[in-house]
Amino acid sequence: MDDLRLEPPLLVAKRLSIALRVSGRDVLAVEDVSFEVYPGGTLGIVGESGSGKSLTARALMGLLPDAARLAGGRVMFDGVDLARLPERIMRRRRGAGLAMIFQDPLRALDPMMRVDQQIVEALRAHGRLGRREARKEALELLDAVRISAAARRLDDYPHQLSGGMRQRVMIAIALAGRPKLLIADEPTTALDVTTQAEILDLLQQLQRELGMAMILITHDMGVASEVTDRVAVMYAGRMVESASTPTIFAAPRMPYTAGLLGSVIDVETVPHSRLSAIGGRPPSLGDLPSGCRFHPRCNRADIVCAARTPPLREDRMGHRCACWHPLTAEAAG
Amino acid sequence: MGISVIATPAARPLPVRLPGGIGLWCWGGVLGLIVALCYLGPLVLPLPSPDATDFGNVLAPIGTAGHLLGTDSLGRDLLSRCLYGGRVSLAVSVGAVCLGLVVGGGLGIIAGYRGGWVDAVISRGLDVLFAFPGLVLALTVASYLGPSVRNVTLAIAFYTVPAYARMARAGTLRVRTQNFVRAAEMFGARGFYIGTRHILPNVLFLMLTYALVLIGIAMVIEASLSFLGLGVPPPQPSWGQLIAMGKQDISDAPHIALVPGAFLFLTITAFNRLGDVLQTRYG
Repeated sequence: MDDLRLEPPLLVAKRLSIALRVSGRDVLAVEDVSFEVYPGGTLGIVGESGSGKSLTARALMGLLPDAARLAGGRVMFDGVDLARLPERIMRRRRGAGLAMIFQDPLRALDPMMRVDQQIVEALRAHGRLGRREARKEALELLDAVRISAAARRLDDYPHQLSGGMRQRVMIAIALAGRPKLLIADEPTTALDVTTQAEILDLLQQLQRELGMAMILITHDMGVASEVTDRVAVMYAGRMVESASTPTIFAAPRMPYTAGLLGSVIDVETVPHSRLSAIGGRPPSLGDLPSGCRFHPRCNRADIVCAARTPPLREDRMGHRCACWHPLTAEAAG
Repeated sequence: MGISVIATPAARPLPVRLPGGIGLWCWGGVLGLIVALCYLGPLVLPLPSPDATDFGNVLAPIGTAGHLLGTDSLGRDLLSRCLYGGRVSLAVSVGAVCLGLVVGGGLGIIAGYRGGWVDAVISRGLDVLFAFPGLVLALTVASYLGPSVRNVTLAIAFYTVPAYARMARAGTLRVRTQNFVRAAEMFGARGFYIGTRHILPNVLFLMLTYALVLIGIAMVIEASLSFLGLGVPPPQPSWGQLIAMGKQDISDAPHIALVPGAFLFLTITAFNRLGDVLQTRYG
C-alpha cells in the first residue's frame, strides 16, 4: 500500500556501492543497493552480520569507516545528493536532517561526560541555544524518551544508568537536532528482551509524535515485523528482496528471505519442533560466489543461478526480488 | 572440596579504593618530603645562602655543626645547595614534561584523529626525532641553544614531545573508533570539539600517569646535561651540576658528589615507582 502513495520519498538511495579495503585490495562490500524511505515511514533493512547493512547506514550518514569509501551511487535526501556534499555542509545536515543511534548503548556515551552535557552538546551543535535553555531542553528530551525522574538523571554519568536507559539517552541525543530521518542500527540487539520491546515501542511512539521517518537495521525478522512498514533484505552486500512488511511475511519470494522467516521462533511455534536453519554460512567478502550470491546455500539453485546474477525486478505491487526461481509467482495484475 | 569451590559463585573483585596501596603512600611521601624540602626548606630552616662561602670550613664532612651535610671545596653549604639545586632540577624536568604534554599531546591527538596525510607528516616527523637517543638529541639542542634554564627545558622537551605524541596518538586511535565519538560526529560536532571534549579527557589520565615516569627520565637528562656542562650554568646549582662539581674532590670528600646524587636517585626512583604504581592500577 505504502508504495502507492503520491508523496515524494524523503530519502532515495540509488545503486549505492561501497568499497571496503580488505588486506590491501578493494572489495565491493555493498553493491547496487537501492531503496527509498517516505516521510513518516519505516524501512527495515534485514540481513546477517556482514551483509553490508551497517555500512549502508553509515554511508547515508556520510560517516564511513576509514577502510571504506563510497564507490558509486547516489543518496538523495530532501532533493540533495548527500554523497556529493562537501564534509562541511554534510556536517550541518547530520543531526538536523538525519540522525543515527547505535547498537551498543554502553559505548555510545562518553564515560567521562555527564548525561546532561552530552545532550546539551548535541543541542548546541546546531541551534544557538544558551546553556540554560539547552539544559531545559535536555530535560524535556529525557522526558520525551520516558526516562523517569529525568531531572535527577541529568547529572549522572553513563555508568550509573542501565543499558535500556543509556539507549534512551542515546535516542534523546539523536532527537536533539529534530531529524527528519532516524537511522537505528540494531538499536535493541545489546538489550534484554523486555527492554527491547520498550525501546521499540518508544521509537514508534516518538516517530508518530514527531512525524519522523526511520530506517531500522536489524538481523531479527521479529523486530522488523513489529515496527516497519517495508522490509528490504540484504545478503552478501546485495539487496535480494524488498516489499511491504505484510507481503514479505505472507509471501516471500526469495528463498533466503523464506529461510530467515523460517528461523524465527514465535509463540505459534510448536514446542520441541525443529527450528529450520539455512545451511552453510554467508560468504566472506574476499571470496564471493559468482552469479546469485546465495546459490551455494539455496536448495532451488541451478546452473543459471551460479552463472548469472539475477536482476532486482519489481512487480506492480512494488514487490522487488532478485531471484531466478522465486517461491511465489508474481502477483497478477 | 573441589566441587564446593566450583559451586561457589566467583568472588567479585573487591571495590578499588582510589587512594591506596602501600607503595603509593611510601613513594608519595618520599617525593612530597623532597619537594617540600626544596621549596619550603630554605624558607623555614636556618640555612646559609647556597652561594655563601665559608673558607674556614672547606670540604667539611657530613654532620659538621652549621653544615649538616658538609661543604664543598669553596665552603658552600651542601644542604642549602642541594635544596636550591632541587628547585632547578624539578622545575626543568616538570617544565619539559608539561611542554611535552601540551605540544606532544596536541600533535598526537591531531595525528590520531585526522589520520591520512596529517598523521603521516606528524608521525614521520616524530619518528625522525625518535631515531636519536634522547640524550644525544638533548645534547645537540642544548649545545646549539647555549646553557640556560629555559634552553635546557627546551632541549629536554625534544625528548618528551615525541614520547607524548606517540602515546596520545595511540590513545586517540583507540578512542576515536568508539561509538561516542561516532555519536558526536552523528549530530554534527566539529573535529576540534570532538578532540577537546571527547578524546582529550579519555586519553588525559593515561598521559598524566605517564608524566611521572617521564619526569624521572627528564631529570636524568637534565642531570646528564648539567654534568657535561651543557645544563644550567653555574653559579646556579642543579643536582647534575653539583655532582659534576663534586667530581674533582671525589677522592678526598666523596660526599660532595654523593649527597646530590642521593637526592637525585631518591627523587627519580620515587617518580618512577609512583608512575609504575599508577600505570598498573589505572593504565
